[in-house]
Amino acid sequence: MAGDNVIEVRLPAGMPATAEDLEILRTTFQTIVTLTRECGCAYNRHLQQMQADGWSVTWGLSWVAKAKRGDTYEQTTGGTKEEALSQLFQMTRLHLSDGCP
Amino acid sequence: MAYSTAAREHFAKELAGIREAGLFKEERYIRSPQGADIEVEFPAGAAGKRVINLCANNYLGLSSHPEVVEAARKGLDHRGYGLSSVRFICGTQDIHRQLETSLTVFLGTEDTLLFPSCMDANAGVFEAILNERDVMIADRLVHASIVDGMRLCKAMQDTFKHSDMAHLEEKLREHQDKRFRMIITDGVFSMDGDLAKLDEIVALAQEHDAMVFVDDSHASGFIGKTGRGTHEHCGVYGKIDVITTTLGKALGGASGGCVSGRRELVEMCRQRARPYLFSNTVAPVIVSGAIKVLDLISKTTERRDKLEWNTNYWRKGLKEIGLDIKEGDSPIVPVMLYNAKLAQDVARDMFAEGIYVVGFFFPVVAKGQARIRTQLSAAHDQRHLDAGLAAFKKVGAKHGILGLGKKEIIEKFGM
Repeated sequence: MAGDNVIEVRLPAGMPATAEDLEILRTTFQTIVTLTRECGCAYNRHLQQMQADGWSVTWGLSWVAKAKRGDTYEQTTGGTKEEALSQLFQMTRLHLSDGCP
Repeated sequence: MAYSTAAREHFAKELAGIREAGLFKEERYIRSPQGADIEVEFPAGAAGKRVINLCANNYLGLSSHPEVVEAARKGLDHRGYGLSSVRFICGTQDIHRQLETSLTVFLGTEDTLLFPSCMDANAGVFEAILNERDVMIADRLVHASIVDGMRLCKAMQDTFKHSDMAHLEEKLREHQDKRFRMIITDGVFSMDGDLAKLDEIVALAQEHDAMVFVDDSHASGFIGKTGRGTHEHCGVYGKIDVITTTLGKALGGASGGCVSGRRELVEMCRQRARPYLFSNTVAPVIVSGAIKVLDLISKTTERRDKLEWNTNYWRKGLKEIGLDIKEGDSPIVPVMLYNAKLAQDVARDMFAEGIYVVGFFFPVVAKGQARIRTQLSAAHDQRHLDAGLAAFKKVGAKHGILGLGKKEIIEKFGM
């Protein structure tokens, strides 16, 4: 987005970086920034409002896995990438076909 | 109004894409009551054509049965057209409870709760019973409504390979740390017409402390010696924890469904299942008709026996003329064509011959598994079946598929 701060990191020469490596680096930096800079921001107000409404709220960072095929979409989360993808795999198994009515 | 030109163009393009992919669903207008012989207006505006219906879920031929229609009429006269309420406010009549009791007795369970449809029953049941401490382990070919219901539930989702008991057992062992395990399956699978191995599933459930859920929509009323369902056929009548089924197929064919099973689980649905809590009550006219249906099929197995005879006759006839069918015992008899275009062409030619059947292909069935799903009914007489077989013989010969197996059909037409 316009106005966003962007950090450029030069990787060691000759080091092959896969798309997965880059995603992990991006997420790691984002997490550090989130944890260090977002304290006391809007989400605290949301948290307080939810607690005032009687919700017991916990939160944490997790992996998100998404699968899309045509109009069918599945999304799962997990504490580990394995957990998220394993859940996603099971959900997509339920769409081997749309099935007869 | 904010339906912009851009929005209109977007959806028009989406619809064009669906049409281009050959997935556009077109309704055919039927100008007669449901039955073995119907009058169909297709395409829209065309003159009505009398055809033999071989694609309805009217397994027992009760959709237009005079006694059911009369009972429905009496229900209309005595209990009115609608209730204008959900069940728990002012939408429960004596006949709703009467039908629930009749279903409980028929299905051999402890209690039953009506829903507007079985789709709604499946959408609500899992969320009402299970939570994030539990796991749902489903056969990979369960009905779409079960998939939707599982998505709405917070319990962990897992699957086992279709009817693979070794894989199911592996999954049950893997999830011993969960509070509750629920095995989820259809009784009769709607695509292939094959039956779940409920005897083995119940044995595994007992061994590994799991609940068993069965959607018996394509079985209630006619599978099993007295038509109670797949659980009767498999010798586990009374041992299924949750059964969902529909009133919209064999049991009169109007609409409505139910959750039937262990008393506490049904009560949990009454308290928490959102499609039950927030949908209007099932109309009195349907409830009255369904009570009559259960009365009729509890007194005699005549219709169920006729359906069984028709099924055997039809399966034998199709094999004799050289068509490739899915083996099984149910009145769902898929004629395998493997190629999507071939399935559509054969269905179109059958309609021209006066036989109404529909071709199914991906994504309704798996890729390379295109077929025509024929469905038998107790409303069919032998003359209907003979006419259907004659048409299949003629159309099959035209397309050069008689006597060909999977390999040959794929070689000739591709997948």
